[in-house]
Amino acid sequence: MTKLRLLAGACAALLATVASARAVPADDDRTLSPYFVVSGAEPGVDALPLKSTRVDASVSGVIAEVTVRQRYRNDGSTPLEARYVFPASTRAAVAGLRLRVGERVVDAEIREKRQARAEFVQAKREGRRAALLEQHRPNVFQMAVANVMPGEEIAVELRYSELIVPTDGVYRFVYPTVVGPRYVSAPAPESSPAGGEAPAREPPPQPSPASGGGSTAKGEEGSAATGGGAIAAASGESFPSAGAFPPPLAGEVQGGGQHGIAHPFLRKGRPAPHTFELHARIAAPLPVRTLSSPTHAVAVEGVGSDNATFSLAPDSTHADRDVVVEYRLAGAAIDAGILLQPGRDENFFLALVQPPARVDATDILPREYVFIVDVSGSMRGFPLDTAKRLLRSLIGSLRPTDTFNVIPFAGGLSQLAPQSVPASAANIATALRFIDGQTGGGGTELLPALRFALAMPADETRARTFIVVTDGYVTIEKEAFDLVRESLGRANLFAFGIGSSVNRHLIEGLARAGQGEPFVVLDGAQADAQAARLRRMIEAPVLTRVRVSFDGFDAYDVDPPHVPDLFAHRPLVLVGKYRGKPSGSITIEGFSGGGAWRRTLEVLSPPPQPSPAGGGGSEVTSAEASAASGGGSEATNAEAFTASGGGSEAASGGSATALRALWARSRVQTLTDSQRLRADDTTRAAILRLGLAYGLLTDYTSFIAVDKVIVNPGGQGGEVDHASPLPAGVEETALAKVPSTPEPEFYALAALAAALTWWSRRRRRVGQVRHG
Amino acid sequence: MAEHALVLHARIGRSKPSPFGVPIEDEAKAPVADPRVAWRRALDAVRRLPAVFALLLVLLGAGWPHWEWMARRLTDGSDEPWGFLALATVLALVGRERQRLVLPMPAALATSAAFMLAAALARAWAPPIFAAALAMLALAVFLACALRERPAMPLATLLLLALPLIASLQFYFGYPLRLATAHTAAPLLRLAGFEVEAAGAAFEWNGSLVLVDPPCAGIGMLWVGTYTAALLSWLNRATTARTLATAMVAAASVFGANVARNAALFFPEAMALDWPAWSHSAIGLAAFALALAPVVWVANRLAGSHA
Repeated sequence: MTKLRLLAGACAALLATVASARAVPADDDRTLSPYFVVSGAEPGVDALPLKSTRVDASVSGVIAEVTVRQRYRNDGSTPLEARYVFPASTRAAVAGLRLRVGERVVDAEIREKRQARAEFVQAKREGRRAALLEQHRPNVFQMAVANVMPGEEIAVELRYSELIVPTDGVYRFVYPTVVGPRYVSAPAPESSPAGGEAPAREPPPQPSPASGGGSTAKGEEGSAATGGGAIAAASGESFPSAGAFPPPLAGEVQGGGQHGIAHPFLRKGRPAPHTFELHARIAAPLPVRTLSSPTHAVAVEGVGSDNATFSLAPDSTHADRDVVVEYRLAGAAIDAGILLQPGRDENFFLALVQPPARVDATDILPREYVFIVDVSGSMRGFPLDTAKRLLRSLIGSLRPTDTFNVIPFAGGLSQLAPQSVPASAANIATALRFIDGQTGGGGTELLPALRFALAMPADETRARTFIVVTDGYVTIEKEAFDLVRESLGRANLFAFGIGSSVNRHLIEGLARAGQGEPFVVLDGAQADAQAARLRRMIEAPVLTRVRVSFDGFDAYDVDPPHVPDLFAHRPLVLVGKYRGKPSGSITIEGFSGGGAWRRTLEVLSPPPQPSPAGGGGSEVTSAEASAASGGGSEATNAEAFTASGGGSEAASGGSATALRALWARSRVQTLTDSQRLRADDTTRAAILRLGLAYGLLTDYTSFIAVDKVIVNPGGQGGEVDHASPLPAGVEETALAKVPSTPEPEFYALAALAAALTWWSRRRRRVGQVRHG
Repeated sequence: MAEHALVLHARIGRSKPSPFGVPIEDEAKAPVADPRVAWRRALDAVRRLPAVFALLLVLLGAGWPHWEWMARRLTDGSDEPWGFLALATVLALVGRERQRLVLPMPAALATSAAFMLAAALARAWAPPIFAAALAMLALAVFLACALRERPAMPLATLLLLALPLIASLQFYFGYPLRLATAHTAAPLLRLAGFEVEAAGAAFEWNGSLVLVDPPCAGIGMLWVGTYTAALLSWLNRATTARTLATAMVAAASVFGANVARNAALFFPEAMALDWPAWSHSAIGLAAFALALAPVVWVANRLAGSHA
């Protein structure tokens, strides 16, 4: 009876506690306990909505016009916003976007970036299909497609043009297919010259999933440690590089330490989740002598004629490295001359000037070489092996009068010697051992390494050359360019990009800022040749102290405003506007290895032609080049590329329209290069005006296409960041950033503990039996 | 009231054994169509439960919000689901001893109820994990007192391990553990001839870093080590003091093993040696096995002392 009373009392008391406990809202606890980032696939959401990418290119003369068609299909049961970060050529002038849904076609319009985002978000909320194309870096874009309905297919086409200028007689068409995993240094960089602009996204971003099979830590610390242990994600097929999505590229975790861009990647060895195909046609002024690709097995036709094609059939294995196609034309002459594009309001011209032949200098100054070598996690494996081979070749061939130093860097940096040492056999052997001892691991702290190297005391009796060797997987391009511009002094800087998907924006920008040349080494086999090429360039620059003058030709807004020294053998490119009737001449002067050099191009009025579409005015071109040499330089007649064969094709129709965009792109490049130093809003406003006036994708302008039809009232649905494959040759350590020592998986620990417990009990029982 | 007491006590020992060790009458299993009859029979079944099981059910019912929160945390990915292993272990251990379950003394019941009340109140002002820990202690007090011949401390430890602890341990103890590990392992590596410096929770060597990051802190090893210590202490009927001693040995040896493991893995990571992936786990497991050996030894040496 007493017990029953006790029981009843206990029941009443405990039921009361249940009631009181129930009164506390369950949701409150979410913020009270330590909470780590949760991974998990969302049911019904198609995580990989991009199904295919098709590239169609038409190369006429030196202008390539490219159409990229991305096909998105939602195979899930939830409406989607698909986002895809993809690379582009560093010289691409993106001037158009088109959205296709079945038979419906919507042409995009150029808008100020924030306005475009606002319109995109609005369209998404209203349930309209929309596409937004943004530029995160000059060679990295993001496509966002809203309200892709279940079972629906949407195609987005973007069009761009670029100049293909031959170097050493080789024309190189490069189409990057994948953005490498970028390392973000501790202070979060600005997303653009204007500062971080948030990406088009409605709700606050959910940190990217980072889960592992048991022992993975999650959350703030866990995400920073993604690489430390398990890096599998929800579906088990992709994983994010640490951090939350955007900005700038797709976002970085704010707040110090090691973090990266949350652009999702597939595990190493997995092909792209979408197919990639490419079809290109070359219309050349002369027959195409050779046409091949060092990166892909392209199908080639028409070699020997002036109309060749190359193509890649649809396949998912193409898209883990840059597509590089190289071709040479018959004859040694470069397709040089002047292309004119008269317009309704503005007239444009493009001048290509054949440089003098390289002449070996007889008196070569002793030089100091400083090698700044990236040995970070993303360089581990094939890129670092290639870099070592390159360095062995470069250092091994230094002259005894040269001095050199080697500065490997990752999260920290070291150096071969406190000061540059003579290139003696013993020092070279020591340096090669030092280089061989470098292993890939850690972050990519490029800026401290550059700062350190540039601040090293210089020997005034030597010409100094910095050589940066990296894959360029960083996000501090602008800071690096500024640093080089401000601190380089009288030295030159050459940048070597190593790998299958190099960040060409960094490599080319560093070289431009450093008054040097960019190199891209795709594999170890090219290392020796590229090293020899650098030696040749340094020992015998093609043209220095270049000056351009216009006589009777009213040119203005000419880019580049100052022509840098020319190390590689390629045409000088000038693009600008002109007023009035085209006449007069353009004169280029400078010094080659053989002395003073001068060349004049006569500008002739184009003959009247029927007005083609585009540009608002008649678009005909005419140019004639005359060469005048001085000081013993080569006196080769530059061919007017409009006057010969396919050249006339280059000047008509789309190519002529492209000149407008190419000028604007070149102008934006010049303004962007100078922007940081001036640190004012004037340049930003100028870039914005250019983008809007010329319909060009820039840091401050985006393309937005919105369908009128409402297909998803309310705009509810999932958001997906389409994953990219890891670039070929890049190890997963590129995402791990810093190596670590994770403990074994939980199940293994538990199994071990269970086995030991069982063994202990059994041994104890046997002992008890023995002792009776 | 007298009738209820009769039901609670008089039926024990009749007919077939039930999963609770309580007999069930054959007619109760007959299918019934009338819901009222089914309801009556269900009530009868509850009435026939021994008081200890009935109270246990009440206790479990009272703690329902806590169990619900725990289940959510253990399954939604915000914490590791290892607590289920501890919970399953408790169920198995208590299930094995179910015949020995007796009604706890009133003082024990009052203590248990007080813990549960405190747990309910704690939800209003303390983090849910703290409230859930109090609820677990209520359960531990009840079960320990219902199993008088079995040690209480291992049971309480296992029940506390059933909580979603890992995220909290990582948050509060992860960094100190990593710091201590790095600063203890760095001198060992210097003894091996490598000029390694501990830079925060990382090793710095030759300009590169090797992180002792959260997955390296040894929290998982610590959890499994404590779990093993508690399990062995239960099986060996160790007293509270001896259980605590075993747990402390486990903590110390696991820390030492984690230092050794981090030091050993420094070499392949810092020098980028291409060791196969399984070798990392193998080194970790070897270190953990070395850590568990003294735990097993101490647990066996301190066995058999519980009354």
